[in-house]
Amino acid sequence: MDRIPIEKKVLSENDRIAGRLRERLREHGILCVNLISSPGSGKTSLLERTLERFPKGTRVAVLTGDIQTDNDARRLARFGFPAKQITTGGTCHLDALRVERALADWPLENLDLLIIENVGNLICPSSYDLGEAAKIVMLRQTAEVSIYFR
Amino acid sequence: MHELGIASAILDAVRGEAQKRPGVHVTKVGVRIGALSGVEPEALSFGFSVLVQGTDLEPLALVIEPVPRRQRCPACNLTFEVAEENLACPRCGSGETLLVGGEELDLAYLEVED
Repeated sequence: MDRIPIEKKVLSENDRIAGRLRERLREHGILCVNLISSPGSGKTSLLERTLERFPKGTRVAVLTGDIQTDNDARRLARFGFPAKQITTGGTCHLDALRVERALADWPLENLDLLIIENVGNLICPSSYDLGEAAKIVMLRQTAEVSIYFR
Repeated sequence: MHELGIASAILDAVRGEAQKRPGVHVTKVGVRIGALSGVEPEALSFGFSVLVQGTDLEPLALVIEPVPRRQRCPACNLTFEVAEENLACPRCGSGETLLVGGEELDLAYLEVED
């Protein structure tokens, strides 16, 4: 019986893909943000209010993650900017490969800003790098201040 | 759900390492799970046992080494393990300590036999 030290991150494969994605986004000069919150905090509502304020022709696109439905993408597509749903089929977070696949048929040269709306969950999405420049965490005051900061 | 994804990533990594070493059978995989990693060891073990069942990797044991949260006190330079979410320095009492460990989600080792 031999023991072989491995010493690498369990999610190193995700990190590798995220690194590749980050490089691609950087080459195209795209700012990518990863929006995270628990379910029902208002991520989609925030994005609706954001997109409706952008002037026509703003080079922004949204990827939105959900376990089951494409409701969010339909809500966000009303503003005339590209919006695509990533349906995870039961998985509680987005990972870098899913994002990369969703971006495969999008012309990145037409974008300045990519917003990724993660699956509503404050735990799992925090483990997965999606190649973003920054994560934005949204807290719903009435529910979460009392739970997370007591 | 999350732990199942992590279990699946561990199995993929084991498979990758096993392919580099033809002829050996991996019997055990050791992982380090930090207290702040967001991974529940019991759920991970369960997910792992479900995924490994009926595959060519069976029997494969998962050994989880839990890692406590660790803080460092810049005032007196003590590094300590955090118990019961008390982040204050146990030596000098400073409340301004820094997180230095506990977020691990690492593949530590494999045990193999020929």
